[in-house]
Amino acid sequence: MTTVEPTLEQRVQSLESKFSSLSKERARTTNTENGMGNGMYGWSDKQLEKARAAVIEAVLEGDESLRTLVAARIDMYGDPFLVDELHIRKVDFIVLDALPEILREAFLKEYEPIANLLPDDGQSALLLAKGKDWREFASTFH
Amino acid sequence: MEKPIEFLNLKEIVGITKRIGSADKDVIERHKRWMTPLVQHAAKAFGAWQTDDLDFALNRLADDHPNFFDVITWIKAELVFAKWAGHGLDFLRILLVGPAGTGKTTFCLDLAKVLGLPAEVVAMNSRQTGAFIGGSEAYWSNTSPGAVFKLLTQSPVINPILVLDEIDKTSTHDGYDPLSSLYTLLERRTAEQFSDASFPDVHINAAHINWIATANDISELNTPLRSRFNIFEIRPLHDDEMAALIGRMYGRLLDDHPAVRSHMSATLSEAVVGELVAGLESGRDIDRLLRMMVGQALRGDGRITPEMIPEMMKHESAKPRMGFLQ
Repeated sequence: MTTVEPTLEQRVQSLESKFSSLSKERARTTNTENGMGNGMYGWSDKQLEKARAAVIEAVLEGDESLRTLVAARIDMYGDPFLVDELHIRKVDFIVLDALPEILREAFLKEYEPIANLLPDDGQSALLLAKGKDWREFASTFH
Repeated sequence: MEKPIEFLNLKEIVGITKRIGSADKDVIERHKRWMTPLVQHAAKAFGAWQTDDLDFALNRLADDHPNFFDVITWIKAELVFAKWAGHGLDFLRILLVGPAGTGKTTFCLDLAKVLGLPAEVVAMNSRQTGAFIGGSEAYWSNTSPGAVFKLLTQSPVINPILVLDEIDKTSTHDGYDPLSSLYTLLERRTAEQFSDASFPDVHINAAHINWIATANDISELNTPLRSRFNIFEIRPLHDDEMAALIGRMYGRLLDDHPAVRSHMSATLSEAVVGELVAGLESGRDIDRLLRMMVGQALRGDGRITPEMIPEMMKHESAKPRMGFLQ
């Protein structure tokens, strides 16, 4: 019986695949540890609830807190390889589902959502908006 | 499709903790404590839309409260109007006047249940200021919002029910009129821009609340307030109405519990019904009383006898009719 040695190309592909899995796992772990995700992983129900509470606090504070809306912001992609694949130049989104309904409705009267975020756990999709649109909208409250 | 309802002005809420400009931590915390649920529940819809099912439930309510037939007829008409106007039951203002024990408060709670609306009962007896409705002034250290703000803050619907129980029992003291905040709340235009005294800079739309007031005697109630309500005189139940109600509630109790029904006689004896009619002052106690008596009967042969009626419930000509303590 003869053993077929993998080619160099196959070895490289295997290593890339392992690296990709590890970086996904690392992003997921980091976001979970933080309790809130600024990446595209980590938006579980519990974390969404935390984000909602923090968003209301930002609403009551207004100004820069509302404009940056850190708790509902996504500014990094969990998997750096996919950023290139999807041709995303800059990751800058707001998770609209983290907003109280009255604010979300007011925003959606003026702006379109940009994408749906499908969480890994198969729960319903979260609606994303462009960060730039959000900042423009938030500035109307000054 | 239902039109979106303007409940509050977001511009008044955004940045409020900075705008109040207070270094007092308690003031900021108080704002956070109340503004958070206010924002969370700010997107409100109408409850209580007229449907065939709701009509059926209201007919059943009328069977259980025959002395409120006119009130229910009025509400049904309001519901039809509201549906054609594109919303749920809206800004009902009724005042139920009748002697104690006619079941006014019980009716209000049963009505809220049938309509599927959240309800708050505010006991008006001995109130000396209007703070319990419209909040206390913000300069008091223990300032607190009133019933309107609290109810709307938590309510998922824009049209909950606020019951002002025994509105004739408030007392005017040192020139304070405890009902003063009602004048603006019972006028649609001013109620649209209601602000609780505890949060004077925040305006909320209270113009869809359904108001029900109860009173034993409205001779002392001033005309401006009376004129804001549709008044219904509530009479005590006639004996034949009470007898029919007892029979119906007994049947319903058994229908709701099939396992119990198989051990009980299908109807109550005339003697038992007669004793109950003589002893009960309103329909509000029947259900609890029947449960207790069925429980006793289940120990025996499944028949309810007059001896099972508690002594305090039995009619004695020298004493007034009695009911359970509420």
